[in-house]
Amino acid sequence: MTSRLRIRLTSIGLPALVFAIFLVVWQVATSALRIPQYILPSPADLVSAFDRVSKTFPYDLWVTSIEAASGFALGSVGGFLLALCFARYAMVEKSLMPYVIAMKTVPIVAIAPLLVIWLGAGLMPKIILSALICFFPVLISTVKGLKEVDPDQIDLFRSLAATDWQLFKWLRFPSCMVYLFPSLRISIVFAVIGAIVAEFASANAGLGFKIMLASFHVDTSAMFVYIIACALLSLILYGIVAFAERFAVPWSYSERTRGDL
Amino acid sequence: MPETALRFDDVHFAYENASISVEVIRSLSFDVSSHEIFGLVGPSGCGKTTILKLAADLVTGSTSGSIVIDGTSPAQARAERRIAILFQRPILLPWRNVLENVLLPSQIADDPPAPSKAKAMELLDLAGVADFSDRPIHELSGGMQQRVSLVRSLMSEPRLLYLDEPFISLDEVVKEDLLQLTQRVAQSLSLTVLHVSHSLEDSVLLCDRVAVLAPRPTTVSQLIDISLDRPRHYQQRIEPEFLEALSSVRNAVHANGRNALKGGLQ
Ligand SMILES: Nc1ncnc2c1ncn2[C@@H]1O[C@H](COP(=O)(O)OP(=O)(O)O)[C@@H](O)[C@H]1O
Ligand SMILES: [Mg+2]
Repeated sequence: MTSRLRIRLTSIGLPALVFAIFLVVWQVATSALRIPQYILPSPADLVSAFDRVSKTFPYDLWVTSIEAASGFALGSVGGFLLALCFARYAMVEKSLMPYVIAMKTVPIVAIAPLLVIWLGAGLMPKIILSALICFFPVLISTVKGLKEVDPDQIDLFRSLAATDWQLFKWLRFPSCMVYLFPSLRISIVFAVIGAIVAEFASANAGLGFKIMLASFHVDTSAMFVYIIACALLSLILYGIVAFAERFAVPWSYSERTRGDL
Repeated sequence: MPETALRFDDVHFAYENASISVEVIRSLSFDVSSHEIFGLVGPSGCGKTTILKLAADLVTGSTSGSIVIDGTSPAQARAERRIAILFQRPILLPWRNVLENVLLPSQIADDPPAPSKAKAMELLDLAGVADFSDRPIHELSGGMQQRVSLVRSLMSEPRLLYLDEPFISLDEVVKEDLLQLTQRVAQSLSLTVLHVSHSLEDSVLLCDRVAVLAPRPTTVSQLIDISLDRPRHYQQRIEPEFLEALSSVRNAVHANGRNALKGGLQ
């Protein structure tokens, strides 16, 4: 067995073992200590709860995924475009940047109930809330990325008498990708949070909505199922963005992994 | 009397940042003849990079005196792409592979792609890196990257090549190769080369004449002819003629009253 393979096996195998032990301890503890199901359901309770909700579960998962993904797309594209506009028109940046910085510190989820009043109980308020949360980190990191270009690289372009447009498309734009992706990875997680909080405010489907519903019925097992589903959804969406990053900015990815090892 | 390719005449320069002004160059004058390899040697921080950037129209600050490049201003020389610079670090774009990096100057100049590509491959071959043309940059060693940068700098067919300590961070064997390549390229393309470095040894190996710079604010303290035969080899640096030339530069440096020079001997 090569050492590389052994490292692989232990890096997957050990955490899996820990998880298995955790499940066993959880199961044994809940039955041995007679913890009531509405306080802490056992793993077996979760399995049966999942079985109970399995009919509607795919639809709720779908709704929340769509809300988060659309909000993410809308917010990050919007943030990116406004950043380009900032980079192009210094006056626009000068006048708006203080507000952008201020908005970054505002807990945007607080406006969820307001969005429900304005936009109703459908998908719209969830998408808008997710989009708003994604918007600011993407905007700020893109602005930063477009600015913080290696001054030597700029000198290289200037020494070749490059036009502003050439400088933008062949230098500023690609070098800002390295800043953009970390903020996209954060944003996709924020987008899921936004969708769930907006569902708390008012909804008729979705994982967040089902968590609320289960809490009204003190159906703790079902709550656990939906909470775990939210966590997994967030993890998977994050994985997709991180995977895309490997293809979009392979140079940054390879630098990072080289640094880690 | 050979033609003058680059002339600094009583040049003063200071960086102007917000409220403070940093005087870097005081009354700097020198001439570089066409097809000559001219060296500036001086301690780190004395203003060598600043001199190159001034001569390439890449810095702004308070300037006086005149810089003339083949009869025109540095700004015009830059606009006409008559100057190429090889920086201390290989400034390659990590999102482009080797060939795409080399093609950057042709893209910027909007040259037709097919002949540019042929020229790039020819130069990459000359530099011994043609096999790596489709590799991403991060797979190349520092020496390879510097070769690729050298190839890129030749793509715009410059008349003048500025070298900003391009061999400093390379290990001995790689440095040897690159010194050789630079000499060969300079000769076959009849380039005028301005090389700045704090390494006495590199400067003596590469240059026809060496100007020793005083510490900041810098000026030329002495001009020394290096009349060694070409092509020069790295192994030559233990031969008597080389050591003699080196010691004359060294003495000039020490005559500055400072021993601030790094590299070279001791
Ligand atoms: N943009 C700048 N603004 C102010 N001072 C600078 C700037 N760039 C360089 N300097 C200063 O000018 C001096 C010369 O720098 P440089 O030309 O890089 O020296 P060298 O290349 O010889 O090491 C240094 O003291 C440095 O701190
Ligand atoms: Mg320097």
